[in-house]
Parts: sequence; structure tokens; C-alpha cells
Amino acid sequence: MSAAWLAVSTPATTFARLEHDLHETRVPVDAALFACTHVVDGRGPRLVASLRMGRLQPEAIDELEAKCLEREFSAVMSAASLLREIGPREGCLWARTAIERARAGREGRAIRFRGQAALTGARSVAEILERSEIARVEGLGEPVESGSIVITHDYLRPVFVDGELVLYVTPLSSGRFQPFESAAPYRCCEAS
Amino acid sequence: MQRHRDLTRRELIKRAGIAAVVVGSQGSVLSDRASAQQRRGELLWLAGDHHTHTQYSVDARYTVRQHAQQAKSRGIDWLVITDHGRGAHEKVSIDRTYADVVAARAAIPDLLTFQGLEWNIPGAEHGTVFLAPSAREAELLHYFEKNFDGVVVFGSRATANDPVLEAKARQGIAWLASKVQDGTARGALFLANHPARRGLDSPHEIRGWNDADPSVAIGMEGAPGHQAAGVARASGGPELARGFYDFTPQPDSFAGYPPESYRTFGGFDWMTAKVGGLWDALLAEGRRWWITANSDSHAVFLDTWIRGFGTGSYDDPSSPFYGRYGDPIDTGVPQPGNGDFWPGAYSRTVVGATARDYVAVIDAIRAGRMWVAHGGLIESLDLRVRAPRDGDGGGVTLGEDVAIERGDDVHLQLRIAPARTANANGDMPRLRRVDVIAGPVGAPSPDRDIMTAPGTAVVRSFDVEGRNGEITLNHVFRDVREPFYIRVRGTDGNAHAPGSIEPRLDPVPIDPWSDLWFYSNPIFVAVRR
Repeated sequence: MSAAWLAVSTPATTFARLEHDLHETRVPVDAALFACTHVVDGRGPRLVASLRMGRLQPEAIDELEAKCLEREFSAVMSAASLLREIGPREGCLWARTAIERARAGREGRAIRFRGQAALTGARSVAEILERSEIARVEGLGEPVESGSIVITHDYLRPVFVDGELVLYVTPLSSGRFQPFESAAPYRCCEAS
Repeated sequence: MQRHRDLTRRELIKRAGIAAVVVGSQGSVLSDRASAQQRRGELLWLAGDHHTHTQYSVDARYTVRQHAQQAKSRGIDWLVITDHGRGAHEKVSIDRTYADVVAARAAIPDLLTFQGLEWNIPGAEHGTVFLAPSAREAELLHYFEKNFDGVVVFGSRATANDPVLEAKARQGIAWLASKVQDGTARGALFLANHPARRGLDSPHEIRGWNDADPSVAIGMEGAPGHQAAGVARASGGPELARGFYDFTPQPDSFAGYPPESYRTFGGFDWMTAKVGGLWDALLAEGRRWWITANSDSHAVFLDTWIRGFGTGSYDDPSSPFYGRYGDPIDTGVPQPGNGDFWPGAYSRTVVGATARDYVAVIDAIRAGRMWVAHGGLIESLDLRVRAPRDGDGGGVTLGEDVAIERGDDVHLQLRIAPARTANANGDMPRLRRVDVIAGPVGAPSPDRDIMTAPGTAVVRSFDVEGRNGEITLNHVFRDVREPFYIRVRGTDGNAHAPGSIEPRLDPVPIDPWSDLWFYSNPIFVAVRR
């Protein structure tokens, strides 16, 4: 099966900002089969998103190209008969690195994965494992059992650990758990 | 509190039997020998807080005077005002703060009010920087912020993993030290704040700061502020992670930190709470690296005050509220969602000072004569370690070291006064257990990112449940052959990690008064070769 890959590099310095950039550039994250964020070493760490697509729509490619050029983002598209690089060269280098890593499937933080859409509300660990690509749920500070309930807040960002997609969760006082990564962490020392 | 043993200076000198005393302008400059003798005698145990924010911080609200009054009313003896470094703050806020600090000193003379800065450490987290008062303290802080603050100098790249930024941090520390050495400042300290919160303070950066100048870069918050951040929304709290520690690894984070390091344990930062973890790794290489506990007070839990005028204008040079907010406004109604306590209401850093003055407090912090507690768990702590053959019956105390002959016994005596009065929540906390923690001291690893000390462990636990009045605990380390260090911690025993006596990763929500710990700084034992 031939897969199409897309990677986008932006000047974001946080994962939240990168996801915001993807949204603004209309990168088709929701249409991806699997999407990850990666930290690639450039001069200091650089953030790149990789997407495995069923196919790349020509219109989507043109739109992405226009948006990336406008924002000075870099993008690389790679499919059987296609290799396109858009935007600053250095960023394309990072994007290519991200695609290589994504192909290996051992590293990254997943923002789109199979079964994600179904894992809303409160779900048992067993259900999370059964319905999605997540291979393991690991409780920080407190072990989980298959019947443990995770309040997902409709926001799951599992990460690759030793080649497995792992969802870290932290304890709630109710005995349930919530994802380690919060969609909206505390905003420290920002103007308000 | 032991600070009630408020001896006059003359009594102190008389007890210590000091013949020649050199008195500086603040009256604390004793000869080395004299101060060593005095340490063995009575110390003034002064409670303080080195991390508070005012209307001159972009995300805070209170006046300097409010903090000073609140702190004083809660038995705080010394207080450091630490507003965030930022462009507008550097331009206009330092001098305004200074005027307010000088006024607070005059209005509340028995509170030692320092002006400091919450430094955006280039390439890392935040830290407290402060100086002993002098005619030039504001000028020195201003220079420091302008030249070394990560946000002021590097903007949005402030926390980047970049050797240039890491070098800038060390240069800032060395510059502070140079100002002490040339006599411009009578003392300067830097302590890393909420060090594990975002994984930004890598082990090698911490070692680098300490090495840049070990008389200035001397420690970190063992427990962060914002201890009410985990209180349930139904009770008026933010219901986020305790300490607002709800972050996950980011690109600027040190990749070696495990995910659990981003959360607190019994209210304490992972670097401190994990036995055999990063703090112990630093102590195990003989570093004098100390811990504190502070309020980080920005907005107090169930407080009725709201921020004054100027929201949205802090960074606008054309606004009359550039670099500040108007004085806060009392609504008379408790405001939901605040995660902090007033200085002294929950977290206390208690230092053993040789006098009640600014330089003596800085000296005590630098020396590591400090213990910290949450929720008024204990009133006083006196840890003494002695080697009987040494002929020193009094022993040494926190932050100090004692040298023994190989094979000697080492005697530890810990005297604790449990809480005798209700804490700020109206509870009478009960101390249930005290742990003695010890670990070997050896040569530092060439790997500057080492963050474990496998030889460090709890060597003895004392069940003190139901004991009233002063508690005296003794422990003997027999036939000691290698250098080591000793520290103690204690707890109300309400919450532990599953199946262990270690502190628990704090769940959400959490009532901070329901899980209390104290920690001491270490004592080092050297073995003569």
C-alpha cells in the first residue's frame, strides 16, 4: 500500500502553537490516517507535524502551498509519484526528517490516530485499548487497571514510548484518571 | 516558634563569649570564628517567603504594602518582592517598586522587606534574584534585568535550549557575584523557582548555575507556591494541578525528565520530593544546594480583591498603566478561581539567622540553615549532628558539616515542636511520621545531567503519632567510613504513594491542608583521611 506523507514545519515553540498553526494553515489533520508532532534538532529544537494521508488532493496541496508561502512555513509532500517542497529550505529539511521518523513509527506525539474520535467523555482503559491505536495506558503516580475510567476531556495526545503508542494519565481524587496532557494548561505570567 | 527566643544582640554576643565584634552598618558582621561560635548558640529562626508578586507583575494585582501587612500578620519575618522580568517592568516598574518597598520598610520596620526580581532565567524557568538593601539596590536590579533577563533580552526565545542562552544565565549569576565582591552589594542570592514545572531546568543547567557562583546560586524551591491551585471549583478553587503544575514536555524541556516530574508530590516539586532523585544527586556530589518553600502569591484563594485599572495596557508605553496595574479594588465578595496563599499562610521557609537583619537573613539562606513546612505542620525544628570524639557537644546544624575520624559513630538528634496553634485554615495539624534520609557523598559524575542518587534512602522512620509537646528523636550512624549527608522530612501521614511511605503524586482536585510535609536542608559529614 502506498502512503502519502505530508510534513509541515512552523516557527512554533510549543505543541499548542504548532497545532494552532496547522489549523490556521488548513493542514488537513482531520483527514489524516495518522498525524504526529515531532521535535527535530536543528539549531535548537524545531517543531514539525507529520501526516500520513490516504491520498493528497491537488486542491488541498495548492491551498496549503499558498498558505505556507504566506506564513513562511515549510512543507514537504511525499507520495509515490510526487515530491514537493514548499517554503524555506531549512524547514523542508526538518520536515523531511519528520517524515522519515514518522515512517519508522517509533517517535512522536500523536494528534490524530485511529479511534480518536470515539474516545470522548469517560472511557475505561479497556475501551481505549480496544477502540484505538493506543497500545498502553500508563497511570502516573497510580497504576491503572483495565476497568479504570479516564475522563478524556475529548482531548488525547498519546506519545510513542519504546515504539508503542502510550497514553499517560494522572489520578483524579474521585479514583478516576485524566490525560496527562491538558488542552489548556495554566497560562503562567501572560498578559490578561 | 524558636524565633520567639528573641535574644537581644548583647545577649547573643555574651552567650557566644565573643571578645572582638566588628559591627557593620546593619550590625551583623562578626568574625568567622565568632559567627561559628554563635551558630552553636542561639539562632533566631525567622520565617520568610522569597517569592511574591504585586501590581507591577503582568499577571498579579496586590500592592507591596498589602503583601507586607499580610505577611507580617502571619508571622513572617522577611519577605522578597519578586515581580516578573519583562520589557515594561524593566523600563518603569523597578523604581516604582523600590519607592513602595522603602515605604513598606518604614511602615513595618520589624518586617525585613527585600526588593527582588523574578528572573526569566535565559534558557530555563524562573528564579528569585535579590540583594541586600543598599543605596544602589534598585540600580543594580535594573542593570541585571536589562542585561540578563531571558524575556527582556531574548523575547519569545527566552526558554530556548540554546548554549548562548545558557551562558547568559551563568553570566548573570557571575555578575551578581562580582557586585558582592567589589562591595557594591552586601549580598545577592539566586534561587530557582518551580524548577520541575515545565522541565526547563535541565540538570546540567542547575549545576552550571551553582558552578557559576556557589555563593549566589544556592538553591531552588523545594515546594512551589500556588498551593491552592488544586482546590475544587465547588470550593472556589481553580481545580487545576497543585502548584499549577499541569504542564507536559515541550520542545524546550529537558528530554531526560520522566512525565511524572511535571507534577507535584505532597505539594513538593519532583526534584526535591523524589528520594534519590535530582536534589539528592546534587547533594551526593557535595553540592551545597538548598531548598525553600514560598507562596508565589499573585491572587489569593477566596480573596475579595480584584485587580485595579490597567488590564490590557501593561505592555503599552502610551498607557498610564504601562508596567503596572492600579491599586486593587475590594469587591467584598470572595473571588473564585484563585490558586495562591498570602505569604506565611501556608508555606514557610524558616532560616536560622544570627541577627534580625537583611544581611543575616541572606547569610542564613546562603548557609542552608533552613527548613520548610506546609500548613503549620511544625513550629520549630532543631537538627543537630555530632561526632562525640570531636569534642563538640553542641554539634552542627542545617547546612553545616562536621568532620569525623574513619570508623567514628555519628549522632543525630532532632528536636521538633509540633503545631501548638491552629493553622491558617483553622486546623490543628498532627505530625505522624518523621523520616531520616541519608546518602553517600562522592566524586561528581562527569555526566552533568545525572539526576539520580541510588545510594540515598530513608534510613529510619519514626512514628510520632499522638506525641505531644516537644519531640526528641535520636539516631546513631555507627562505624562511619565514608562521607555522607543527612536530611529529614516529616508528614501528617494522610497521603502516600500506593504501598509506600513516599509522597503521592497529587491528584486533582486536592485540599492542600489535607496533605502536609516538612523538609529540612542537609547536614554533611566528612571523613578525615
